[in-house]
Amino acid sequence: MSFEEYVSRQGAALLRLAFVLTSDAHLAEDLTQSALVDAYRHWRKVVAAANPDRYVRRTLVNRYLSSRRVKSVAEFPLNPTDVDVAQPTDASDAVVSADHVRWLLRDLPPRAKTVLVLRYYADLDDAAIADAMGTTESTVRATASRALRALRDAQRSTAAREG
Amino acid sequence: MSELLESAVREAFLAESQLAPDPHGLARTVQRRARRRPLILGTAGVASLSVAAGLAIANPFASPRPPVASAHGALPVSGAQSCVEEYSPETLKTLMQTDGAFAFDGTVTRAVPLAALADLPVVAVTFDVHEWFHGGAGATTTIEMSPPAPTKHVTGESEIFDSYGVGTRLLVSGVPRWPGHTPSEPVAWSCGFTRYYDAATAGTWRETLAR
Repeated sequence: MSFEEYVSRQGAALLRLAFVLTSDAHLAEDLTQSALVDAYRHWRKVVAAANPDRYVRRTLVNRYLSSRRVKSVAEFPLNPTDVDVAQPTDASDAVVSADHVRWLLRDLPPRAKTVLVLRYYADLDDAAIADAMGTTESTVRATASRALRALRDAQRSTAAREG
Repeated sequence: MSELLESAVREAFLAESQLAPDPHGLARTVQRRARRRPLILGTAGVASLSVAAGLAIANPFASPRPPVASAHGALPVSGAQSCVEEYSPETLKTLMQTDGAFAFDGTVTRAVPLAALADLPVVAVTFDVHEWFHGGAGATTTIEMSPPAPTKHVTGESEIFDSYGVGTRLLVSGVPRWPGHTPSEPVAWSCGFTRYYDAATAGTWRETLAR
């Protein structure tokens, strides 16, 4: 499989994954390109590993988390989002509204959001998520649990405020 | 509630993904960018106090040259690059917050080209480490770097040297490609973040990174 064939087959999926992680079109493009540049430079090794998706996904996730860490340490402002997400206006809607959840997800810490993205968007199991993030399965489970609890708490707070 | 929430999370991510940008031309963009920036962070810096312009060649190992005997400032490496970060001690300090980042003073003892695409060569460079300023441990370490650039002295000598080779003493900074994994594949930054050794700069790195 050539690099071009790989990008033709997986480029859109990688961009979507990057976009779901970053919620920013420019960042998503940059992240995807960076991960693919890395894969391109090591293409023989990537192909030899028989699982290019795993290699590129790990690179993409690592770069995303590293960039967020540097930015947070340097207290960079977050880039403005490209997407308008409706904020909840009604408590009953807020309980299960995907729009509301999208809004809440953006407040999650990067590692928590990454775990949820890999589990609920990329449909990876905990072992694959741990591999992509360079951590352990137990850490993945604990992070996912905390992230879901934070979302639930945020939903309840919103419902209480609105109701 | 939990299943409802998980279902809403799935739906939210799916909705978000529909808004992702178009991948048209992605492969070509990546290949252009790879040629421009062989190493991460736009690693290969051009800051050439002693580089002759226009000397880039496709395969720096085709005709071995001796390494430059003495030079100062940023280490030039092969290929035309654009930098996404400009070197300063303070920027270096900020970048050291990256997972697994390292900085050290070392002398090259071995440089071996790695298998790579013909137009994107990479070199595994082994160093005797004199001092770790940040991260790292041990008396030797091996780092991936871009190949040396053909270099000549501003003194007007006509002979062309490699910008680095066995015996060159450098101040190196970088990150592992895979933090926390073995092998972690450490990669050197350039764009001024890997430099020729001088005592004053070493002192600055020591002081800045200790703060």
